[in-house]
Amino acid sequence: MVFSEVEKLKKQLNCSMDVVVREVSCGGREINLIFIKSMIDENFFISGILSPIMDFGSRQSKISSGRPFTIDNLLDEVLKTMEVKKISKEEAENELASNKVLLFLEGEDDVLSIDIVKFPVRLPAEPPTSAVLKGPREGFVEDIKTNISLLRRRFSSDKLAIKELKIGRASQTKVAIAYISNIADKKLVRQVQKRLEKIDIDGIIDSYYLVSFLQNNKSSMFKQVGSSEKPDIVASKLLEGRVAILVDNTPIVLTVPFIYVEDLQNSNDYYSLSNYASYVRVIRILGLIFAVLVPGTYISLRLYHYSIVPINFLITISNATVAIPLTPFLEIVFILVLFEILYEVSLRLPSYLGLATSVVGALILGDTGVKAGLISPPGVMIIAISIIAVYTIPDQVDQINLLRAAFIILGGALGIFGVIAGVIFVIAYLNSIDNFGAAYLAPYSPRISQDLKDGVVKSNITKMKLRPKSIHTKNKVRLKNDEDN
Amino acid sequence: MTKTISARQLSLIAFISVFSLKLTVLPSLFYSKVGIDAIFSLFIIMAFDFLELLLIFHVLKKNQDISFYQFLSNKVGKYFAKLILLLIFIYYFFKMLLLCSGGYNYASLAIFKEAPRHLFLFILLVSSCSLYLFKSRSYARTIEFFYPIVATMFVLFVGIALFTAPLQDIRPLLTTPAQNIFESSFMFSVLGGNYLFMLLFMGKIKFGKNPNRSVFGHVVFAWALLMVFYIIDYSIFKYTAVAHPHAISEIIQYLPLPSILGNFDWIAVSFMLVLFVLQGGLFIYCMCYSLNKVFEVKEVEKMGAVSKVVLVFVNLLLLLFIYVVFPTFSDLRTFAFNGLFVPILSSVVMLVPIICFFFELFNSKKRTKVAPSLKSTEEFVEAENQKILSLKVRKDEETI
Repeated sequence: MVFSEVEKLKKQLNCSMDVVVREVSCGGREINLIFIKSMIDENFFISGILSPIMDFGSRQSKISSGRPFTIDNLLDEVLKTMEVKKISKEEAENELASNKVLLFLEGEDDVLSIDIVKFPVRLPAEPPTSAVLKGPREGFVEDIKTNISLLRRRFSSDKLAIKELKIGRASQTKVAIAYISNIADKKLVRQVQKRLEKIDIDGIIDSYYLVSFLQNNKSSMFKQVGSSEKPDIVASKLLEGRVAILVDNTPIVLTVPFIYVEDLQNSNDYYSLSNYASYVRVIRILGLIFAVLVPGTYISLRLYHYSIVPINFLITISNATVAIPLTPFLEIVFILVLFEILYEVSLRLPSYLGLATSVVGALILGDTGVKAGLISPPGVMIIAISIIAVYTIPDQVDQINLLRAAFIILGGALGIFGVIAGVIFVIAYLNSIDNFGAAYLAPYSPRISQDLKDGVVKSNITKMKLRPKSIHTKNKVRLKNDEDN
Repeated sequence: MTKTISARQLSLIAFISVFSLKLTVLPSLFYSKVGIDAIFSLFIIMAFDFLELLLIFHVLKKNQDISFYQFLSNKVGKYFAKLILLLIFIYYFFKMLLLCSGGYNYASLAIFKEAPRHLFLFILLVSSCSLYLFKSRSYARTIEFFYPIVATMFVLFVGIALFTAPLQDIRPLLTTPAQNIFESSFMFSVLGGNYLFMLLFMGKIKFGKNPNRSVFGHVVFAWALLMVFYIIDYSIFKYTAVAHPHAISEIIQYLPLPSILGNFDWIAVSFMLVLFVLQGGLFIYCMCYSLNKVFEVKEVEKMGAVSKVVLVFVNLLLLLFIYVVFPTFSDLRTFAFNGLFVPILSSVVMLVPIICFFFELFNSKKRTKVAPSLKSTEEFVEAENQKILSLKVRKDEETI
C-alpha cells in the first residue's frame, strides 16, 4: 500500500518516470521507500537497505513481542552504519529533490532520509588546458565532493575552511567557498559570501555564471575572477590569501581577487628552475604583445608611417605587397576573418575532419590565396604570428582576440598614434579596476617591490618569504627560519 | 576607500611632466634667442623649478588632509582662491594648447605625413580626457606603468646618441649678455612650472617612508637627461640648431646606425607619443580640477554632472583656440613666446607656490603659538569637528 504522503511527494515531483516507490512489509508493518532511481546506487540500495530491512522484519516476526518496532529501531539497528538522518514530513520534498532515499514507516510522523547518492563521475584527470611537463596531473571534476577532497588532500591541517551555500531557485546548486582560515582576510571572505548569498537566480549551470556576480564592473571585457582546473594551482592561490569558489557540476574553480599577472604564471613555472620560469614568462609577455599589437602596428606602418620601417624590411614588404588588390587594412581583416571562421569550424567539427580543415585552411586558402595574389605573404605571416602567440597565455584568449580586433581598427583608422593611445587607454582602464581591493596590474602599477619576486621575473622560492602584498591577508609570513633550509 | 596616490607615483608624474615639448621645439626656440647659451636659460628654468618643488613639497607634507582649494580658501578666502585657480586654469590651458599644436607639428613631420590635424587632436584629446575620467589614482598608476618604458627608451636614445653622434665642441659659452639669458628664461617660462600640478593633488597623496628621496631623485634624473639631451642637440647641430625644430627625431637621423635598425626613429616616435598623451592627461586634469572649483556646487549629486560639463567646455575651448584663434603653430608660438601675456601669466602662476609656502610658514608659527591654549574640551571637540568636516569634503571631491 502506498501512503498518501508518498503519493503526494511523487506528484510534487511531477510523477517523473525515475521517481520510484518501493513498498515493503516488515514485521507486520508497512514501509514505503521513495527515491530517484537515476541518482542512487541501486546495488547498494538492495544490499544495504532493502535486504537488512527485510531481515529485520523477519527477525521481528519471530520475536513477536507484541510491541511494534519504531523508526528509531530502524535507525539504530538496521541503518546504523549509513548516512541517515531523521527528518519531518515537511522536509521530505527537499530531501527527495536532493537525491536521498526516503523511508516512511506506517503510523510514524518522522521520515528517514538515507544518502546513497551515486551518479556518473569522471575520474580526476589532467585538464586539457593546463597540461604540465612536471607536477601533479590531476584536475578537478564535475563533482563538488571530489573537488573538495582534492583540495583537502593538500591541507592536512585544520586551517582549510569550507563554507557551503546553495544557489539557484530551481537548480539548488551546491557552491563552496574555500579559504585558509589563518591567511585569508576575513573581510574578503565575508564580501565573497555576501555577494554569493545575494544571487537570486533560477539556476547555476556552471561556475562562469557566478563570475558576473563577483566582479565590480559587470560589462568589462577583462576577467576579474581567476579560474583553474587544477587543485595544485587553487591550493597555491589559497596559500596566497585568495578565496576559492567551487561549484557543483563544473571542473572550473574560481578564485578572487584576481590580478593580471596570474595569467602570465603557469604551474610549470613552480616545478622548474626559477631562471627558466623567468625566461618563459618573458616569452609569454612577448607573445601577448605580438598577439595584440603586431597586426594593428603592421597596418599603421604600411598605411601611414612606412618611413619608420628600416629600409631592408621596407623593400621586402613592398615587393611582396605591390600587386595585392586589397588595402593593407582590408587584407589583414580578410585574413583574420578567414582564420576565425576556420577556428570556429575546427572547434565544432568531429576530430576526424580536423585534418581536412587544416588542409583546406592552411594549404588551399592560405597558399592559393598568396599565389593568386589576393593576400600577401607578410600579411599571412603577421596574422599567423598573432594567432599563435595568443596561446602563450591560454587563459586570456577571449580578451586578446577582442583587443587585437580593436587595435587593427585603431591602427587602420588612426595610425601608430591611435595604437599607442589605445594601449594607454587599456592600461589606464585596467588600473581603474578595483578588484576586491587588489590592484589589477600589481605588482607593476602600483609597483610592489616584494611582489616583483613572482612577477615577470620569478625568484627562487626561498626568496619569497612573504605572501603577495597586493592581496590583503591576515598573516604575511610565508617562509619562516630560512636559515635552517 | 580613499583613492590616494603614493609619493613615488607623484615623483613619476613629475618625471613625465618635464619632457615632451622640451624635446622637440624648445631647443631650436631657445637657440634662436640666446644661441648656445640656451643651456643656461634652461638651467635657470630648472633652478626655479627645483625651488618651487621644494616649496610645494613642504606645503603638501604639511597639508595632507585637505585639498588645494580648501587650503587656499582657508588662507585667502573663497573668492581669491577661485581667482588663483582661474589663473592656474588659464596657465594649463596654454600649456595644453602648446602641447596640441606643438605635438601635431612634431607628429606631422615625424609620423603623420598625410594625416589631418583633426585626427591627431581627436586621438590626443580623447585619450587625455579618458585618463582624466579614470580618476587620479588610475592616472598615477598608468604613469607608473609607462615610466620604465619611457625612461628606458630615453636613456637608450641618449646613450646611442652620446656614443655614436658626431659631437662637436660647443664652446665658447656665455657669449650672450646675462640679461638676454634671463629674458629668454622668462619668455619661455610657460614651459617651466613643471611641478605646479602637485598642488592640485594636495590631500590625495600618501607620503610613505622617505618621500623626498623618491621625488627629488626622479626629478634630478629627469633634468639630468634633459640637460644631456640639450648638450647633444647643440653639439650635433651647433649653429644650425635653430633650424631643427624637431630635435629628438632629427638627432636620430644624424646617427650612423646599421641599416637593419633603419633610422631608429621609432624609439623617439614611440616615447614622444606616449609623453604627449600622458602630459595631455595631466593638463586636462589640472584644467578640470581648477575649473570645477571655480564653478563649485555644494550638492554632491550635481558634482559629477558639473565635472562632465567642465570637461566638454574645456575641450570645446581648446578646439576653438586651435582652429580659430591660433590656426597654425607659428601663430601660437608667436603669441606664447614673443608676446608678453603668456610669460606674465606664467610668472604670476609660478608665484603661487611661493605664496603658499609663506602662508604655511606663517600658519605653522601661528599653530605653535595656538597649540598650548587648545586645552579646553570645547576647543578640542571643535578642532576635531573641523577635521571631520574637511575629511568629508575631501571624500565628496573624490566622487567627482
